[in-house]
Amino acid sequence: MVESTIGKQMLPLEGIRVLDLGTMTPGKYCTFLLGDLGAEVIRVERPTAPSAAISDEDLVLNRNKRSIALNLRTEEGKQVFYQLVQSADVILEGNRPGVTRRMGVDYDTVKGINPNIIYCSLSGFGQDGPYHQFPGFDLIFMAIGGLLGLIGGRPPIVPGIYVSDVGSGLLATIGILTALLARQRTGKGQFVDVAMLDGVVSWLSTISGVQRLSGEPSQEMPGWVMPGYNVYETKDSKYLALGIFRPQSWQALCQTLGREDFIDQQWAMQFYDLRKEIVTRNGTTLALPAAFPVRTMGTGLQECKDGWVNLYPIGRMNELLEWMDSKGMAGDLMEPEWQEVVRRGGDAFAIAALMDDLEAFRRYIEEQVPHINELIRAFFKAHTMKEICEEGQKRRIPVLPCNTTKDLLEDPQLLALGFFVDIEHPELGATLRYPGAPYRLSETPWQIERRAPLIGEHNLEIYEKGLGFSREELRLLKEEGAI
Amino acid sequence: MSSEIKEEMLQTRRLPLQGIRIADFTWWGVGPYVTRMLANHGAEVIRIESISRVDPIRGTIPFTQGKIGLNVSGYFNNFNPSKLGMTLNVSHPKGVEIAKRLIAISDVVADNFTPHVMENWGLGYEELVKIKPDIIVLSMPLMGRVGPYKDFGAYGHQIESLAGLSSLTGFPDRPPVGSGIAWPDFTCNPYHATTALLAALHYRNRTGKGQFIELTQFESSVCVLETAILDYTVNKRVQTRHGNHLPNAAPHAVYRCQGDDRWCAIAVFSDEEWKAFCNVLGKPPWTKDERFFTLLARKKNEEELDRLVEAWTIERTAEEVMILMQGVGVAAGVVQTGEDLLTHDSHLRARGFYWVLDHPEAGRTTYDGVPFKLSATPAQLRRAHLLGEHTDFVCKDILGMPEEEINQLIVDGVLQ
Repeated sequence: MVESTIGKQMLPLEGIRVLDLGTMTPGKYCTFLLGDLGAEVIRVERPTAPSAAISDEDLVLNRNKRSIALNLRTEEGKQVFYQLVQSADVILEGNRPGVTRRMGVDYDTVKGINPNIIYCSLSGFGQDGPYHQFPGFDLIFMAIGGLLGLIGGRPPIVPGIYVSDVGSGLLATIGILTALLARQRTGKGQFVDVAMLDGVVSWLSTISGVQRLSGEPSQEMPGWVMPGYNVYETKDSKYLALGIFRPQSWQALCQTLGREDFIDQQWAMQFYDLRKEIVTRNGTTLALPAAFPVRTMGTGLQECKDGWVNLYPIGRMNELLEWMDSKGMAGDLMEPEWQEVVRRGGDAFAIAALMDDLEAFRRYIEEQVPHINELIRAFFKAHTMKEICEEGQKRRIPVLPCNTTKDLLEDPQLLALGFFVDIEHPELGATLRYPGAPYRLSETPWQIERRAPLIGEHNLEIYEKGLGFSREELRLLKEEGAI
Repeated sequence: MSSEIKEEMLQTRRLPLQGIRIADFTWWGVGPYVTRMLANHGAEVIRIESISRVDPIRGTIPFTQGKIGLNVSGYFNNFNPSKLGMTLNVSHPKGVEIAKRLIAISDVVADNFTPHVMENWGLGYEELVKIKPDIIVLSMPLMGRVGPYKDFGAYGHQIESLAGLSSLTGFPDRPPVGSGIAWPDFTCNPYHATTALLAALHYRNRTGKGQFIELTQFESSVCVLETAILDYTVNKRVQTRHGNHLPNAAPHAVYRCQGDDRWCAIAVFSDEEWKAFCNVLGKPPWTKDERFFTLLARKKNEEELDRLVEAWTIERTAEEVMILMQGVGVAAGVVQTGEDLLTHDSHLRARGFYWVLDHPEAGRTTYDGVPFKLSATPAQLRRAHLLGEHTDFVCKDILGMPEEEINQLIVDGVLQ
């Protein structure tokens, strides 16, 4: 465990001063990363009663930051802020568009004071467009952004973490860092507009990239471009999917087609002859089910004795069955006819061998896969997560535990990596354990310089030492409610 | 060809990362997503691809209607705009030599292989520092280079479960569910990696020192759990799935609307929002019932509340529900489909989110824009490269190879 220390090592963003205008979760995540990277982050917060309890979120996300209490809605407070702007490099705010302008702390105003400033506005829908004044929360951005519809069954399920909050905080960080790099070259600052909605939309990468201007829909049907991995059109203008990874299966297919000369062409880019060959031989049409067999055979979250694991047995079905058999739990799946079913279906998307026989394909989807799944389910339920993951990985089957937070804190890998850090909180009389950094930099290793601040904790340090206010001036500002 | 590229590259002069060259050995999703963000902001990203082991994303759906080949995957093209693409056989000793020549004049090397792959080629960090002392190397292994699980293998959906995200997602009485998009692959892992890389560039520009960045996908994904870890360490509370509800909001859920599989999410936190919400519904008697009058009461009777809200939404289209709610300041959003986003959403269109670019094989297709906008140096997208499209350009114009050498390398099977 890393001890809480005062940093001596130079960090990547040392000397960069960031003013965080009391942002919510997305902005806090952004300045959390910038602070960890060595920037001097000052949270500019509304003055509150000194007893205001610090939230769990602030404990985690405000580490390595300083805090001043400053009321930007008073004229005096604003003047203090303008003084801070002179020595700042970055400003981050997360208000609804238009609010900072009314307060007189918007980009145009601030730029007049410090033209090199990088000013990032992090909002739900961006600074313009018809939704820009819409209120929104994480849930709403995920819905409008198209992500929610992809999660769970029906009704759609909201993820257990604030996905769009964290994601947009990260995007603001990247935007700010990019602007800082530009400033190193040009000396000029700029405005960074981050919309949470844009972030969510950009994560559904597979829906764009195909839409044509004419409005022609994308080809929804899965298909691959190698000869063994493709969608083939059949005589009656329907489609047939074929997918083969293993050379043995490819060889078998070529032999079935009587085209041994294609055996060494499995990954070739020119395969039009073969394409024709398959279509000619198979005049039948195969209606593809919504979910491919490979997706349904043991894939996804599986329940164990003491929790859940996530399994993806593509190409490793034999190994899984051997393992089940060694525990006497493979049922009839080791018998030759079932071995044949698994062999044919276990090869990703491999319905090549079934394509002659629609009835066989229907039986495969509706009867055989459910039977295989039932046995896999029983096998997993009889074992613990630990047994499954360790033995499964030993057999090169991609399976990982579905961890709870408690599991994570006890996870041997995270412990071996030294991921968690303990931070002392004298004001709480406790030492708390936090997640470490998301990355490791060899030259500028991450460190905790300070725990999360109390609101206004650094007033004296910043106003007196930083801006040169006298004690008397500070007393007056306080009386006026500015700090 | 190469004058055309030069011209395109001249246009990147005003971009923030202009002058940064990246030797990009990444493949699949996470790595190319990192270099995508850099390329769109002017970095010269050279993707080094193999023909014997083609990036599987080149063969992944969706494809342009009716098109077949290695250059028409919408998935690949969307992940790889604005880059140069060369094909190189790194298993050949001369291939490694060319890779090293390229790295010697690059700023960054990126890969997302398991830890030993680059080292086996003789391209591990220790070797690269000898060629280019201030090189920045970004490596993105699943589990890290040490620890009992270092050799484990898995995909994005499973990392999500491993990092504790699945256990928090779903209804309390139903199994956990995944995010639907392998969230760590598209967000926290590439974003954290990009953050570290940009910070390292910033540091190098000031100190002249490069470094090795290791992004362990497991650790990076745990970081986004935010307070869940603290909740356990402080309160010994293991957070679990809470369906679509939040402790401090009601109603807060996704409601079925008119039509086939149409939904609208609604979130009501404050008393003012609740009043506005009731007004939109026309203040039916149940809204005045004491079982729903306060947040506390609504939380207690939330199942019934959800039923009553849905009885109202089911009579209306999802768009109508959203507009009515947003009109009075209540957060609401249609659960949009890909089609909604690409063809109907007026907001994305007004903001010019999607880019439409011509591609010689895929035709005119859309690309995701960059989700943040820089006012002075906005991102620029060029269409995705064809497999091996710039091999010649990289050898001739960047590495300065004479024609004969290039020809010999082709004959030797080094340049593919």
